[in-house]
Amino acid sequence: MSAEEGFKSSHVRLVASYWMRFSVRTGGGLMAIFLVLMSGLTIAHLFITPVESLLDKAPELGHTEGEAADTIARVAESEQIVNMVQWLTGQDEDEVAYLLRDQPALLSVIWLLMLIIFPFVTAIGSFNQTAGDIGSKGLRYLLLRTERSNIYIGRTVGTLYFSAASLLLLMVLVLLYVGLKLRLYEVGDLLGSGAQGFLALMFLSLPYIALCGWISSMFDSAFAALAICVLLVGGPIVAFKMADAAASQTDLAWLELLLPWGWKYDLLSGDMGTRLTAYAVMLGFTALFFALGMRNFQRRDL
Amino acid sequence: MDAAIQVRSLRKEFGRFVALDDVSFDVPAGSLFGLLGPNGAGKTTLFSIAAGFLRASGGTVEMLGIDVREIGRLHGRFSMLPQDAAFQGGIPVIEQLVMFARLNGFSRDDAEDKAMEALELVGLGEAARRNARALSHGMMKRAALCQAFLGDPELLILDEPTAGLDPENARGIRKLIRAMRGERTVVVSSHNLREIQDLCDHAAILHEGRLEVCDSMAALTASDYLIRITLGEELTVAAIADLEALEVVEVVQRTGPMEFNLQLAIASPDQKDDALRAVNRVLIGTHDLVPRSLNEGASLEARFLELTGGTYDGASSS
Repeated sequence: MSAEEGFKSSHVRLVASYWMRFSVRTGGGLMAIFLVLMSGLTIAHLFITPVESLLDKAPELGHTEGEAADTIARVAESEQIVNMVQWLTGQDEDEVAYLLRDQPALLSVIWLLMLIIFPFVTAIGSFNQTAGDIGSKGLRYLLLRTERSNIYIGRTVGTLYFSAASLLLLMVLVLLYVGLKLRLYEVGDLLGSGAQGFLALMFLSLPYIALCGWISSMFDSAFAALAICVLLVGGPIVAFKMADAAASQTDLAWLELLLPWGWKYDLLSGDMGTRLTAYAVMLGFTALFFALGMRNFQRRDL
Repeated sequence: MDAAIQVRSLRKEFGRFVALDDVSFDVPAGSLFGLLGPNGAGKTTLFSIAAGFLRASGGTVEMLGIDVREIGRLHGRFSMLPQDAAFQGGIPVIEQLVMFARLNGFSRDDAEDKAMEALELVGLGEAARRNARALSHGMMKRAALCQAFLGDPELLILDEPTAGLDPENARGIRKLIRAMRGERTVVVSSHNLREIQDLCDHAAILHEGRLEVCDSMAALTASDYLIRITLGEELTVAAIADLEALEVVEVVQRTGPMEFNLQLAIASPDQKDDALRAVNRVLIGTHDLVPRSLNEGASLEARFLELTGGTYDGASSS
């Protein structure tokens, strides 16, 4: 089959754009945006509120804004916070120092926690790439007009755009609030940290979007796809954590490196080589899951 | 005559269930072709394989000379009304049709024009902006037909195009299909056998996944020994018994309250006039039942029942 008869970028664009529009209009997309914003803003709220409170009380305590900001910076670099971040991420001192001292610490801890919940948020936002429409035979009018590959790629790209737009909206809200209300950091630092956080979360989302696309292509029920997506995203993480905890003599933390999850903190690394490696690993997982999903979608009855 | 569709040794299994078993036939180019069969005979499965929705377990289907495994080469040249495909629920029909037309290769403006034209064609112009979820079953069916008529396909496959439509709309759709005769190949499935007989020039009958017969409509309904009779009044049980008692009558098969098929037990066509005179004596003379029409040859329904063992459970003449 010639390339002309197979992949068509115009068809992929059409499928992706209509998929996004239809998602928003039928409610599923709005739900995904709501979920991203709610989870992200809740995490941001956990860290922003105490800082905001401290800044508000500074004048009552006879401190200037600058002094309050210094205090916050010292708290961020305190042993307790450093230990907590080290325990959470398993990173060495240099990496932790990079996150808490070289980068805006408040944003770093927000990004770190978002990295933990984002695979699950992504799963809930991307489980229904094809499953519901396979069940309702809703793909058949498309199949009469374009190749299966164009539909699968279009749906994946649409989900990806949608995730990126939702994440961007969340980032803008957090950065605007931290930048305009708290005024703790320089604009350049805010934008730098925001860009790194956005890239980290996007790269982490990629393999999970592809994984959920694969699972979605296996089922003709959106509910079944959702259940399996959440189980497959969370199940191995829990299993590996339990195995690591049970094996007191052996360090089994490396098992997590078999999952995209195991590489997530490297996405915020201060070392460019480590960060690029993590990006590459995420792309590798994405390519693998995407290829498996495409293969399944090409072969199954629709 | 060239074949627009060639089906060869087609087989489809769903687990252990064999939905199609060694089915082979041709659909002549330019014909109006009827595909018939009782529920579960495999008609929709066959259409779904032809459209690339389902993968065949064995055998091949070629449409317009192209194997449907390369379905991409057929996009734009064929179209279909799938039986159970669905529009997106909360989206206006026109938007979905515009997307389909754009996938067919039309620009955004042309796509909107084409979509509106197609909606007008099936009488849905006023419902264009309504959400698909707000359409009645019949309107949804017409919207589905509308997507099949988008563009200018050489080959149309319509799976039960008039099912669920009111008589007026069904007549309108039949008129549209009839107007395509000779210009494009149209394959239609229906449980309305009279509709198929009136509409199509060729037909195939599937039964339990196997092809029973495929021929021209003339050949399928031709018989020297089969007479279709329509009465002005209801055929009584006593009349049936008296007809069956005649030596020249083999079987009386009721096809409606006032219609029946008569299979004559005669050795040659020369004996037909005598046989008909005997039949008329029973109907008019004994039971005062005057035939309003008398047609030689089998109805498609009679042939269908003969081939499928009388398992047909659809409407015969609605």
